[in-house]
Amino acid sequence: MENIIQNVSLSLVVGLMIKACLVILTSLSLVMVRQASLMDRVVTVSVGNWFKMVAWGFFFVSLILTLGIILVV
Amino acid sequence: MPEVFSKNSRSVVLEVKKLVDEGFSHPVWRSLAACPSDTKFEAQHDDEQVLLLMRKHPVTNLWWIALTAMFVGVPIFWGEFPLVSGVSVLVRLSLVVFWYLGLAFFAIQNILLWFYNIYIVTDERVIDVDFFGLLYKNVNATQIRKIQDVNYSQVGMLSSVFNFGNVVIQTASEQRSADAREEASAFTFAAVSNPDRVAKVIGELMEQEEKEEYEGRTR
Repeated sequence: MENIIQNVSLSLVVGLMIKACLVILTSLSLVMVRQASLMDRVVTVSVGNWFKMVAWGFFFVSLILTLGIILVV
Repeated sequence: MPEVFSKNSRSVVLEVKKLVDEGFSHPVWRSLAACPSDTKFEAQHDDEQVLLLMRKHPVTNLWWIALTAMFVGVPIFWGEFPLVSGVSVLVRLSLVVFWYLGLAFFAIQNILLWFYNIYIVTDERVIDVDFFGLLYKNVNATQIRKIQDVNYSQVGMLSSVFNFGNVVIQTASEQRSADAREEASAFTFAAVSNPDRVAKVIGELMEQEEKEEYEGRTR
């Protein structure tokens, strides 16, 4: 019984840490979106929009997965 | 044909034209592009023409590609660790999600930094654009006529095999910027392809500027 409680506690702690890290990662990905936009402003090249789309795509995937994990786990 | 060929001196035109003829003008994501189309930069003058666009040789990305490839397989083995094996399946799954998101972030970040850390040579100036991480950028620009010396170096086996090296441009005001901690000059084009040809183009531009100054045609 004690072992089970210990396992649950460990899962709780690790789960909270992962959620916090995911939130930080999502925030950083938003910063990356902004940075990709600024980079494209400094140097405008034909494939710049593609990079912006990749950054936005990563942000949305990260946001959806973070929200999912926060709500489910 | 790019406008620059009818504008600049014969020697520069010939050297840049050679690069264009050899296919260095496309695509724009290569490490050395001559007269790249659809390329503009901040604070570019209306009549300023981009002659060379450079970034680090793709080989310099090998370290983070290898690191990413190595870490991709880590979740397969981490079930052996007591800390990971002791958590519930859902938490373990979220750990895997976090791991791969982190790796993807690392890879995208490195691609962005490689792509946008560029060096530009125009018919008027040389520009060194450096981004460090997400939150810091450093842009150095100087006019061709303020360049005093240009030289290049190729050190190591990789640079010899793949023909890349550092082009160091010395200016009169030798300012020290954040990117110059380990560099010989604030204008060090690090690990660019064909450093000899880049140095040649810059050298010819310097000669052209001197000639124009002598003839009283300086802009």
